[in-house]
Parts: sequence; C-alpha cells; structure tokens
Amino acid sequence: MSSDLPPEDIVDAQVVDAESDDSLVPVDALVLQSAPPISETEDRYLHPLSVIFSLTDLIKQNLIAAFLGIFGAANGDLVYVGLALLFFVPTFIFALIRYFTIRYRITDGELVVQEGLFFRRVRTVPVERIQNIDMVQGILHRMLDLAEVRVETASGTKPEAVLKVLSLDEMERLREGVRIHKQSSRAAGSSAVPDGALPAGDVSELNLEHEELSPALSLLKIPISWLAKAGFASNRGFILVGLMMGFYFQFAQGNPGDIDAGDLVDWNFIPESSSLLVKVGLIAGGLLIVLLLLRLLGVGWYILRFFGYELRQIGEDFKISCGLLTKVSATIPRKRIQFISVHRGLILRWMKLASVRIETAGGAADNSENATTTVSRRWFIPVIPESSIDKIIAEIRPGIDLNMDGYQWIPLARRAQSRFIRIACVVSCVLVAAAYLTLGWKLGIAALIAFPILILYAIRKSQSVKYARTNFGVVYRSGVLTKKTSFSFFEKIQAASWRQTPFDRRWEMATLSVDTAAAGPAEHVIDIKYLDQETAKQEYEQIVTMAAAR
Amino acid sequence: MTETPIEWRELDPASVTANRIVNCIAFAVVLVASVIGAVIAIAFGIPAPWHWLLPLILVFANLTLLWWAFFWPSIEHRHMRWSAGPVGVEIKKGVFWKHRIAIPWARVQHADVSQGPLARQFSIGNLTIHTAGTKHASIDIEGLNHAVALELRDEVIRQRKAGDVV
Repeated sequence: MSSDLPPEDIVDAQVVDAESDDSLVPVDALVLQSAPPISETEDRYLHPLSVIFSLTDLIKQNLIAAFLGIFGAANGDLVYVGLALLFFVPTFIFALIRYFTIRYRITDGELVVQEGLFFRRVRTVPVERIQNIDMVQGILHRMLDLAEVRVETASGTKPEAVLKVLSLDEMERLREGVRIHKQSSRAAGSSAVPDGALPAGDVSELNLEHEELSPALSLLKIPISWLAKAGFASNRGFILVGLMMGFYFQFAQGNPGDIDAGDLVDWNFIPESSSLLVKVGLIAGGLLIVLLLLRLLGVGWYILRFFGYELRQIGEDFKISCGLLTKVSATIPRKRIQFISVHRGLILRWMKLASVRIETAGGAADNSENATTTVSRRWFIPVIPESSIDKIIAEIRPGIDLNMDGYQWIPLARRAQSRFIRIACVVSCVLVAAAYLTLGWKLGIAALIAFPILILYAIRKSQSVKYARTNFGVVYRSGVLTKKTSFSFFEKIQAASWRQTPFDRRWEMATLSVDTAAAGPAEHVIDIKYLDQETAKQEYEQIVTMAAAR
Repeated sequence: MTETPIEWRELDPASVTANRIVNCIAFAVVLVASVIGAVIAIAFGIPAPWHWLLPLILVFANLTLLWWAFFWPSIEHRHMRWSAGPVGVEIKKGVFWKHRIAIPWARVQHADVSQGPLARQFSIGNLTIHTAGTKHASIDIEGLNHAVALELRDEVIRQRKAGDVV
C-alpha cells in the first residue's frame, strides 16, 4: 500500500465503531492495570530530554554538514563553520519547535497525535487499527530509562507516529491505554463478531476473560550459543563489510574509480622465492582466515542484536525483546500476522537450525535496516532448532495443520525442468563466450564448468518448488541452498492473479501469484512461475473463492 | 469458480475511439519531430548511406506507429474483459502477456472513479479499486462507461465487508 494513503479513509470506516463504543470502556479494566493508563482527554507530551535525542539525530542525518563544520573549525576556516551553522541552526530550531509541540492522547478509541506550531497537524489513528507499538532503546536511552516509541498501522511504509522519546513509565501507560481500548472495542463487537451476536451487557464479562488471559507466557528464549551458531551461518559479515566499504569509498576517498580492490591487500606478504604450492597454500590460508573473520563478524552482529531474545505471549499479542546495546521491544498482535515463513540456510540446515520470519501489515517495503523492523519482521525468530518449529508455528497461529506430508503438493509443470535446463545452458554459453572473449581461451575453457553446475542447479531448483492449497491457506516451498517454506492464510489474501507470457504459452505454463498486505520483508513472495497453465488457473480460481469465503 | 457462469463484460467501445485519439496525438508529435529531424539532417548534410537510410527508417517507424495508434486500441479492447461475479471483481487482459487478477469483495478497501477531459467527452471513466495488498494495492479498470463505473463502484462499496481485513 502506498504511504500517501490518506489516513482519513481508515478513520471514516472506524468512526461508527468509535461512537458506539465510547460509553463502553470498562471502568474495572482500568483499575486492574499496574500503571495507570492514559486518561481520556489529558494531553501527554514527550520527555524533556527528547531535545537531546533530536539533536543527535539531526547530526547523524547531516553527517556531511557536521563534517564540514568540524573540518572548518579544525582549519580555522570560518566559512565552513558558517555554512554548517547556516544549515544546522534553522533545522535545529524547527526540531525544537516540533518536539515541544507534539502531544498525544487517547480519546474515543482513537490515538490523537498533534504537532506543529503554525501549521498544526493532527493525526488520528483508530486504536483498533494500531498494528504494533514498538520500542527502541539505545545505550543512552537505557541509562536514562527512556525509549523511542513507534506506533504502526497497516498503511504505508513508515510508522504512523514516532514518539521520540518517552519515559518507560509513559510508554507502558500508552501501551496499556491502547490495549484496553482495543479490548473494549473488540468486546463491543466492532468488526470480528457479526451484528447483534453480542448483547452490550456481556462486555464486562468478556473483558474479564481477556484479563485472565493476560499474564505473559514465555514461548521462547534463545541462548547465546544458538545465536553464535546462527551468526556463523549467516552472511551478515559480508553485508557489514559491504556497508563499511561503501561508507569508506563514499566519505574517505570520494572517488571510487581510483581504487583497485587489489590494492587493499598487500600481496608482498608472499615471499618471491617460494614455490607455487606454498603460494597457493598461503593465498588459500589467507582467504580462509578472512572468511573466518567475516563469519565472526556475523556472530558479533547476531549477539549484539539478539542478545537475551525472548518471545512472550500476552493475551493475543506477541512481545519480543532483545538486544545487547540497543534494546528493542516490539509488540505484534496475533491477528495482524499475514504471513509466516521458515528459512533454512545451507549451514543452518547442517546445524539443524532454522529461522522464522513473519509479515505484519505495517512497515511494508521498508528495506532500511532499522532496529524494530529488523527484529519484528525479518528476524521474528532469528534462530530456532528445527525440531521446535512446528510447536512455535502452532503457537503463532493455532489450529493449522502442520502435517506437511499430508498436503497435496503440486509440483511445477512436467516440462519445467527442461525449461530450466535450457535457460541454464543459454546462461552457461553466454558465460563461456564472455570469458573467452575477455579473458582468453584458458579461462574460456575453465568457464565450461558453469555447464554442469548450472544444470544441476536448474534440476534442483525445478524440484524444490512445491505448492499446496490447504484448508487454512496456501503453502509454498522453494529454494535450493536456502530452503524456504511459507504459509499464507485465506483470510489475509488480498488478491490472486494468473499470468502468462508468450514463452509460457509455448510451454503451456503460467505464473500464479497471491498478494497479501505488506508482502516482501520475509523474502518469499508467493509468485510461482512455471506451473502447468491449467493447474495454475484452477488454483487461482480456488484461492479467490476460498479467500472470499473468509 | 461457482456453478453460475461468470458474466464477462467488455469495456465501453467508446474507449477504443478515445484511446485512438490519444494515440494519434502521440503519433502526430512523433511525426512532426521526425519530419523536422529529417529535414535538418538532410539540409546540413549527413554521411553517404544515411541520407536515404534515415528517411527510410523514419518512414517505416512512423507507419508502424500509425498502425499501432489506430489498431492497437481495438486489439487491446478485444482482449480485455471484466466481471463482477459472486466472489469478487475479476479482470482478464493482455494480448501477448496475459494477465488475470481477482479481488474478493471482502478485500476491497475503497474504490474511486476518475475521468479525464477527453474521457468526459466520451462519457467514459476509470475505476480504481484499492486493496490492502502490496503488488496489487490498486487495480484500474480503464475505459468503462462512466455510468457503469459509478454503478460498479457503488456495488464494490456495498459488497465489501466493514471492518478489518489485514
């Protein structure tokens, strides 16, 4: 969904509910809470220290200007300092105004966030629509008992409201307030329950039930040894080094064209006189050490990010908390989970481990690596033994049949393998030709090895893709090295489509795809190519019918 | 899908004419540009094979474009069908690259009808249906009769379930 979707649409649909609910907020429930929730009309403000955090953010966002300023100051060049100030002072003043004018409250089942001095912007988020309330704490935040709070709804890529920063008590109060409002509107039968099925008198009883369910239930704790294994198996190290190199080239040198990657390594460590065998050994050993270091970097990243990981269930919400330095805590309502995906990478499989990703409707297509999205979606469960996967999926989504041998798996079209092999052959030919033309005949011959590798890959790939329509939704498996199994659910399927290219038509194949909200972060979008065209059409029609029935 | 056969409907034939007009405007721009380009190129003198090859290419390109401007809208129109069945809205389209997409009634978030100045002359309109999805966050049915578009929009709004779908 695009980020510019006007929030009014959501509000419109919800106004009726809010009006019918506002008298139903149970007083008992309010009293039961440990921290007093936000009162109905009182405006709440950010924590005064917000200004400091906004300032550090500003400097982070404008690194170049900051560098200029420091550089200028160091050289005694006032022009640069002036430029930097010219840039910083107005933005700083705006930030100050902004942070002092932000206020929020919960009224009539809606979270109202107001900001701005001259241009006042009021944002109304129906509490029912709030997907997650996430929290991020850096070291400084933790020392001061503060947190950055993000309120997310289904719309768009960005959090609906970012409250930077609140005290922990204040955050708890906000969470409780939202939770209570959600419960009361849920009890009032706003959307889930058919009209008239629930007399108003039952509201308080229903709430009490929710209250009893509420105690936190710890579902999973990840010991540091698993994290170390997962970090070792991951390619995080490569990504981190890539990021650092990018940063280095961008800022330190400014001209990437001048640098040859070979220059970064000093080849003189190999003595001139040594034999070929020694040389090869030294290079291989060196590479091995580099690889090992990269892997260790991955281990470090995993431990930093997921230290003390705990997944808890509170009523109908899941709560994740983890992090060594920057602490993240995210709340994910169970009914907002759109998609569950189990990933088993090559090395992870050797260690009998896996990771679980989920998709919730908020934060679609946001590829930036910010702490909360990273934790709550891309790494919902960063690592888990294969043997516990079924159990945890049953917790995430009760009542689904996980006996996968019992599914009616539909493989790709009969001739898909031939088609894959043909593609592999064409790609190999191109590779060999390119190697021959650019690097000479020796490497051209060496490139012939691409043929068996790519053909083997093509065969494995065509065998790995499987699709099943079950009674709860669609299950999709694929992957040669990293094996992925994903579950989508009929009531979360927004649309289905069937596509056929001219090439597909020649091979009597088609592509079947299923669209869910915020698809993407789990990196396993259900878009199945090379299915038999008739099968794909039947499945497409069945999926739509079954989705419509939910 | 269900026992009752789906009633596939065509777009308004007027949309073909409208599309032809739009295409012809595009064609006219290209034609003028190529004539000017050819004249300038020949006036300033260009190397040997090009003084006859360039006009030939331009003539060929323009003829193709003219064919496209005139015939493509009707070909596209023949391959486009939509239906508002018991399950939801379904579209099938595409001449070479075929595409079918279906949205269950209950998944529609909202729908709107838009109409450009030319479309108003032909009383046709575009219906855009929004879902909470990602890739198909919105689908367009372009070239409906305006009255039909409005009717379909009302139907879509009436059929969708109030409440949460994500």
